[in-house]
Amino acid sequence: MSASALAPVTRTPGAVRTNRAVLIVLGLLLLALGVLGTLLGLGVLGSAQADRTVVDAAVDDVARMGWFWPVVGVVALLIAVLSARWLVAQAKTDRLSRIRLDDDQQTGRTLIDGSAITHAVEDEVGDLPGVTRASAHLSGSPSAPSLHLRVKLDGRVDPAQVHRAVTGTTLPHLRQALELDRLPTRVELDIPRENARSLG
Amino acid sequence: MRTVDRVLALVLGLAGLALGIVVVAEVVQGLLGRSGHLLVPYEGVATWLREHTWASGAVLTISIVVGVVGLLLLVLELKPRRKTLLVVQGEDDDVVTAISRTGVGRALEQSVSGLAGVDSTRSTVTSRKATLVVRTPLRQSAELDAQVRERAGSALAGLGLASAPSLSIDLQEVSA
Repeated sequence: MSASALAPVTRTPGAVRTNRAVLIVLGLLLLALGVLGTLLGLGVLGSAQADRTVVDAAVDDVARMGWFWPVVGVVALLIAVLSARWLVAQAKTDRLSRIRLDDDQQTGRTLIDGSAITHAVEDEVGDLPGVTRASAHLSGSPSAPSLHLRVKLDGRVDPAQVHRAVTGTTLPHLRQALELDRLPTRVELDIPRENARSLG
Repeated sequence: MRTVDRVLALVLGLAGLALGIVVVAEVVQGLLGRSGHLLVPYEGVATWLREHTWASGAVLTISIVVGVVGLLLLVLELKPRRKTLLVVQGEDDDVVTAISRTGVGRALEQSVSGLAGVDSTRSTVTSRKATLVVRTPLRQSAELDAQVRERAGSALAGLGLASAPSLSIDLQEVSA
């Protein structure tokens, strides 16, 4: 059974997943540190522990061992590298610039520019009655692309009618033109704040 | 939440990068046998940590704050993301069409905004319930109520949602 409600599409699904995972790990880490510090401070782990300074002679002894500071340096370097990768991940989108139509060793490989496809779809959908503007992008992989289409309505035509025109005419045209059996598509209909009739 | 996550990612990513580089620099400085700091004067913090016990008010407060921040972060990240788009019924399995909940609310408001006696409208739509508040200066509003229900009901049905929310109409009288 398909879902009746969906989350909005994002340009950077990888970054969204990474952010969530990293922040969960950070949350767990902070919670563990906070609980440990609180238990130590409240004397739950022994009053002797509570009366120790945060950095005491025992900590100093460990810090004087030969391996300690090199390990701290390596961990810090690792944190810097992971942070840099986390920052780079924010800019990675799932947009496809080209899709692969044929990949045959004998006949060769046929690639088609993604923007040529999306512009054609945008033009065809934009010309439908009741549509103000359409924007499209491709995502996924070059051999298994999927289309995302956002359609801004003008409020003059029933959204269901636009939906039927897009799914019944535009998308079959596109699949036929690309000679694709399948093209998973997500269409978002954007209903305007004021409809064109009420604006006169 | 995605935007908050994005901002946190940028702030914490930059902080982590800066902290990592600074610590590496300070460690190298120490391993080369040079005394004192290179980039960040950490000696004050080290002295403070040597002077305060785990039971001291400041350390305990910091621990509690850190724990609460961690718990808050965990709860916010583990909370399921809001599904703000409602799916439209379709025949093609490869095509999923959706309308935002705000869009559904707009469609409901627009369906009744032209009716005589309607002063203003407001809507709230969740995946289960759509509430349309209609304000009218009319004292006898039974007829308007019927018209609003009919129009809003048709508008909602016309969207062809796979699982339409139940419609609730709230007609409120306002002074003329």
